[in-house]
Amino acid sequence: MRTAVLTAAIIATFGGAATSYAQKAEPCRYFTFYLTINVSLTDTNNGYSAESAVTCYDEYTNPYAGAFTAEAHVTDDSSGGTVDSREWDSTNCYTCAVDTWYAYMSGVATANHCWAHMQKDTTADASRRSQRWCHREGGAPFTHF
Amino acid sequence: MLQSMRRSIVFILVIAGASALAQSANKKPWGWTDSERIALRVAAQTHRAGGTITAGAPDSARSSARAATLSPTQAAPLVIDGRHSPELFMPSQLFGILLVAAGDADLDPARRERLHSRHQAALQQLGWDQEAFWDSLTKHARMYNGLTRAARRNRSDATSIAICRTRIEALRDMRERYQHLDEFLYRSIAPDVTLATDQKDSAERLAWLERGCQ
Repeated sequence: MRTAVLTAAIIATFGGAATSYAQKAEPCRYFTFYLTINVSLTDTNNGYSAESAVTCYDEYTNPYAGAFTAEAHVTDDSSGGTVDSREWDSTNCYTCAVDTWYAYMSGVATANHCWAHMQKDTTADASRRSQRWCHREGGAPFTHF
Repeated sequence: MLQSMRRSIVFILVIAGASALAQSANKKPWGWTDSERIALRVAAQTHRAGGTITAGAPDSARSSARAATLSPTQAAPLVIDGRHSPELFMPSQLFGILLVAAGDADLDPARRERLHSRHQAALQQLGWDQEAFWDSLTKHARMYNGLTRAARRNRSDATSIAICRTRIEALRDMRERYQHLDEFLYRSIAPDVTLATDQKDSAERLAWLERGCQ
């Protein structure tokens, strides 16, 4: 049986070199990525919800509305398609820069599938995969690595 | 001479970090002292292949293309995976993450519900009054996030230091109220978080940040 895997991914970049003019936000010195995915499969509610947050910090580790790009994705690995995605880019928008960018995605979850979330940072070329949420017919969702 | 001394200090820190790493199997992530944690982190920064701070291969052509547009210094940041190496987070970093989350949740009922729900089990396990905990934290978060937002981008060093100090004072206050606060931070906050940075922090710098930038 082919197993479908829904993956939520989050990507962010440091936003380029330090700027020498005022109308562009400075890059972030630290990022934190927060990403969770929950799956509910009941008689009344079959769905997933994925919450992502990327926070930018300055060199004092204080939150800072800097220049960065971020993406959050929920994908079905079996079909190879993106189920939902959100993007953020404050590298060229001084006035819209924020210290924390949130993305909340939700949709229908199908029985007998497994879901997972993954965090990626293209700057670091690093990624990690979280625990998986799986479901078997007639049972409640459970997690495993 | 100075360079030689610096090398010696780094070597000592690496040894201390390696020693700390060797003990890590028996130690809970919240059981480390600040100085042990700093030594471990500096050692991990020096030896990135140690497994605690990792850089993987490009995951896709898209990420490779994006990485190629970055400068060399930006292409080699450090990544701390809170699920695998929570002990590498400094307590004030985790607490700062919690303050930001609590402050933003204070402005959005749906986000607040998700945040509280996410940590409900851990708070229950610690036996804390959940409402009282979030109330205390939210008061600090309002002050911290208020200062951060008021400072905007062109903040002075003095302002940045004041924000940093506020975070540490809030951490101290919450530690006094909740004896096992660090356990909560490392058990419930760290696993959901990854930290990436394009700079290596010296031991002195990490200690300075942990003292509230003083």
